Amino acid sequence: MKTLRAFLSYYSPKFPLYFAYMLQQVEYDPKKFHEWSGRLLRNTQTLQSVATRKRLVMTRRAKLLVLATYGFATIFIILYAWLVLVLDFRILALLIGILALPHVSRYFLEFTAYVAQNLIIAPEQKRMTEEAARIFADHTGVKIAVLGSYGKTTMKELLATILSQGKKVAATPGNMNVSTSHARFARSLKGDEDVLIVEFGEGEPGDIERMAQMFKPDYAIITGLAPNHLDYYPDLKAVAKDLLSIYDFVPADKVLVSGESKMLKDFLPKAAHVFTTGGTLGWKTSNIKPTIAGVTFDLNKAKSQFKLASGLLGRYQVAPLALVAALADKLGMSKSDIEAGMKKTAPFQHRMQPRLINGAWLIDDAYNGNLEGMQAGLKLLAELPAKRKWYVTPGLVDQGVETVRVHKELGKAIAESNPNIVVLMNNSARPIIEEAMLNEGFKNELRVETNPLDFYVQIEHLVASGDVLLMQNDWTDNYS
Amino acid sequence: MKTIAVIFGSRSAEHDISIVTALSAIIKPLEATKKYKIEAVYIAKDGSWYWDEKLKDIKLYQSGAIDEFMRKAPKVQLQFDNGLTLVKSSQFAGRKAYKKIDVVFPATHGTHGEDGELMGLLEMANVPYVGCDVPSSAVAMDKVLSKLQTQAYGIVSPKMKFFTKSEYSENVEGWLKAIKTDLKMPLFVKPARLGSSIGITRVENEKELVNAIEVALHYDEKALVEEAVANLIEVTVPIIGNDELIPASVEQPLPKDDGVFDFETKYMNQGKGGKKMSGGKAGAQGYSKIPADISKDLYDKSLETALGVYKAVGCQGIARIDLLIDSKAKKVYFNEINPLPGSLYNHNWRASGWSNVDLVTRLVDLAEERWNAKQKLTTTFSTNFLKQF
Ligand SMILES: Nc1ncnc2c1ncn2[C@@H]1O[C@H](COP(=O)(O)OP(=O)(O)OP(=O)(O)O)[C@@H](O)[C@H]1O
Ligand SMILES: [Mg+2]
Repeated sequence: MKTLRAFLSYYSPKFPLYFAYMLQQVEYDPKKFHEWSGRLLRNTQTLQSVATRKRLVMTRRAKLLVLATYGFATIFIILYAWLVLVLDFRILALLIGILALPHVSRYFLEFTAYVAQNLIIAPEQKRMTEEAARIFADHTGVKIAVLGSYGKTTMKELLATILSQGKKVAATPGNMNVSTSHARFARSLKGDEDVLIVEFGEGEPGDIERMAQMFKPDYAIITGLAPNHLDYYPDLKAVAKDLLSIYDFVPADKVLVSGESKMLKDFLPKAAHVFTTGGTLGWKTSNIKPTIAGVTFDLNKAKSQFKLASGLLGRYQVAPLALVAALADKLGMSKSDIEAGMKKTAPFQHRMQPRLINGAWLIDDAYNGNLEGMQAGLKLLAELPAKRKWYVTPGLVDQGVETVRVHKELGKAIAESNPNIVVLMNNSARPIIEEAMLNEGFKNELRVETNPLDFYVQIEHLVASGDVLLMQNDWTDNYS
Repeated sequence: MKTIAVIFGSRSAEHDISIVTALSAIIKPLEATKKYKIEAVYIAKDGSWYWDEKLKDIKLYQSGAIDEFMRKAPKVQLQFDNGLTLVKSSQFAGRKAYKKIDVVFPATHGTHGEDGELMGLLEMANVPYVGCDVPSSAVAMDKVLSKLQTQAYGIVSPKMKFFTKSEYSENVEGWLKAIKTDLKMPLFVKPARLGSSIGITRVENEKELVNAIEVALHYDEKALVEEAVANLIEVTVPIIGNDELIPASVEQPLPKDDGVFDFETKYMNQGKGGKKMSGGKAGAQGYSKIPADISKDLYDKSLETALGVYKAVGCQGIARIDLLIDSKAKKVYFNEINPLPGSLYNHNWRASGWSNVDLVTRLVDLAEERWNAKQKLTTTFSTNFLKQF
C-alpha cells in the first residue's frame, strides 16, 4: 500500500515542482539532489512528503528549473509519442514512456544542475572571489572572521550589536556563510567601515582556507566543534583540522577559541587563547545570574569593572558575551558603550527565544542543531524556576556515524535536567534517546508524538501560566 | 478510545458564543489529549440537531456555509439505550450511522441548554455529562431562586423583592409601597431568568421604578427588585469540582467602556496576534484583572462566598460565580451563577496554572466520577403492586 502510494506519487502533474523544491533545498547541488532522491525511493516515501514544512520559493532560478522540466516533459512526450506511433508497440510503449517520465525528468534536472554548475556558476564564482579578495585587501577596517560548528551567527550578531555602539560595523547578513555570499558582502561595502565581520561556514574540507585567503582576517573566533557536517567530512578530526587551518592566516594571539567546547579542546595548540564562562583576555566574570529575561554578570580586569546585562538566555552565553566585551575594550570602546551595547543584545529568531504563550514561557530553540547547544539549553531549563517544565525535541539530524552516541548523550542530558514532561517525536532517534533517559533514571512523563506539526499547533492548549517549555531543534524536511 | 459528544449552539441569545466555546475551548483541547474521539453535535437556531465532522470547523459558521450544510445534512436522532447513541441516516440508501457516546460535554449557553433542559435529556439517557445537573442548572438560571437558595445557607445577597407578572398587576400600589418601605434607593430591577443585562435597569426614584418593572416584566413572567451595592467592585470566581472544589483566581472584570482592550488582547492567544477565537461572554465585559486588585481580606472573602454558593446551589463539574463587593463596607454579595462560563473562562484557568487540556480532561473525569457514584444508588424497587391491581 505504502509502496504503491509512493510509486504513484511521482505521477502527480506537479512533480517538477517537488523536484525543483528539493534542488532548492540542497542549494542546487546535483550530488546532494541525487542522494536525496535516491533515499526517497529506497524508503518508499511519497514525493509529496518532501515538502510538508516549507514550500518552494519561486526564485528566478527555481522558476527556470520548473519551466525547463515542464518543457522537457512536453518535448519528451511529443518525441516519445512520435516514436511510438512510427514504431508499432503503441499502448505498451506509451505506458512505459509515461511511467518513465518523472524519473527521466529527474535525471534531466540533475544533468541541468550539473552543467549549470560547471559552465556558468563556477567561472562566475571565481571572478567574484577574486574581486572580493581585492576589496578586502584594500579595506582599512579591522577584519574579524567567525567560524565553528555552531554558534557562529550568534557570535557574529553579538559582535555586530555591541561593536556598533561605538563603531561603524558591517557584517555578513543572516546565515550567509559561503564564499559567494562573502563576495556579495564585499561588493556592498562602502569602504569607511571600522569593523568587518564575516561568518565562515565549513561545508567541506578546504572551505576555511579558501575563505581565509579571500578575507585575510585580523582576528578569528572559533566558537566550537561538533560532528555537524559529517556527511561531507570523513570525521571530526577533519572538521577540526579545517577550523584550525585559520592559524595559518591569523597570528595565534588573535585567534580566540571557545574553551567551552569539549571536542575542540583535544585539537587545540597549547598556546591557544581561549574564552570561557570564567572570562578571557585577562578579564574575569562573576555574579552570573540567568533568568527567563536574560543573563546578568560582572566582568573584571585589574581596576576596570563592567556590569553587564544581556537579553540572551542561558549561563552558557556568558562565554561569548564576555569575549565580545573584552574584544570591544581591546578595540578601544568605552565602558559605557560596552554596557549599553550589551543591553541591546537579544535572542535571535528560534534561538533560545522566549515567548509568552497563554501565560507560559515557551523557549523557542528550534534552530539549535548540535549536542552541546542542546545540553546548554537543558541546563538552563533545570535552572529556571517553574511550576511545570516541558522539553520537546525530535533529536538531532546530520550526525552520521555519531548518531547513536549523540542521542545517548542527549537522553542523558534530558534525564539530568529532569523536566516534568518530555515530548519526543516518533522517529529513528527516539528509541535511542528514550533508552538513555530511562537508563539514567528518568521517571517523569514521556510522550511520543507521531505528527510534530500537529503537536506544535496544539501547544497553546497544553500550557498554562507557570509552565516553561523548551523546544529544541525542529526536524527539517530532507531528513524526515 | 472514549467517545465524547460536544453539544453546542441551541435556541439561545448566546448561540454564537456557544459555538466558540465548543470549538476553541472544548473540542480543540480535547482532541489535543489524543485520548478521546470527539463528535460535534450542533443544535441550530431552529432547534434541529446535526452531527458531523464538518461542524468542528469555525469557518463553516463564519462563512455562512452552515445554511447550505443544514439544507443537505440529515438531522440527528437520539437513541436511548441505557446510554446515548447518536443516529443519522447516511448517503447509502437505508443505511444508518450509529455512534455510542461515552461522555457528553454540554457547551450551550443560556436558554434551552445551560438552564437544565439539556441535562434532563442526558439524565434520561443515563449518560455521563460534564457540568451542573438539572436542579443546579435550573436554580442558577433563576436570579430569584439562586438568591433564595443561597440565603438558606447564610450567603448574603442584596436585599430584594420579587413577584410574577400577575402578582404585580393585581396589586401594583401594594408592591410599590412595600418596595419603598423595605428597600433603599437606588435599586436594580431585573427579569428573573435572562442574561446579558437584557431588561435590567438601575433606578433612583419611584417614577423610574414603575417603568423599570414594566420593562423587566416585558421580558420575563418573573422579576426582582434589589438594592444596589454601593462602592461597587465586581469580581468573578471560576470553580471546578464535584465534592472537592478548586477555585481559579478571583478575577475582576473591568467596565466594558474601559477603552480598546478586550479579553482577546489581554488574555487570549498571547503572541498569536489577534485572531478572534474566544472571549468570555463577549461584549458583556471589557478586559479584566487576574488576580483581582482587592485586599487580601476581600480576596479571601470572595473565594469563601463563591465556594459557599457553589455548594449551596449544588453545582458540579464547573461554574462561575459573580460577586458584588462594597469596597467601603468591605462586604461581599452574591450576584449570580453561570453554570457554563463562556470558553470555560479558560483564560483565568490558564493564569491559574491550568492549561486548556488540563481543564477539559479534569472536567471529563469529574463527569465520569459523578456518574459512577450515581450508578451505586438504588433507583428501582420491586413491588407486588401490579399483581394486586
Ligand atoms: N444589586 C446590584 N448592585 C450594583 N450593581 C448591580 C446590581 N445588580 C446588577 N448590577 C450591575 O448590573 C450588571 C448586570 O447584572 P446581572 O449580572 O444581574 O445581570 P445579567 O443579566 O447576568 O448580565 P451580565 O450577563 O451582563 O452579567 C452587573 O454586572 C452589575 O454591574
Ligand atoms: Mg452577570
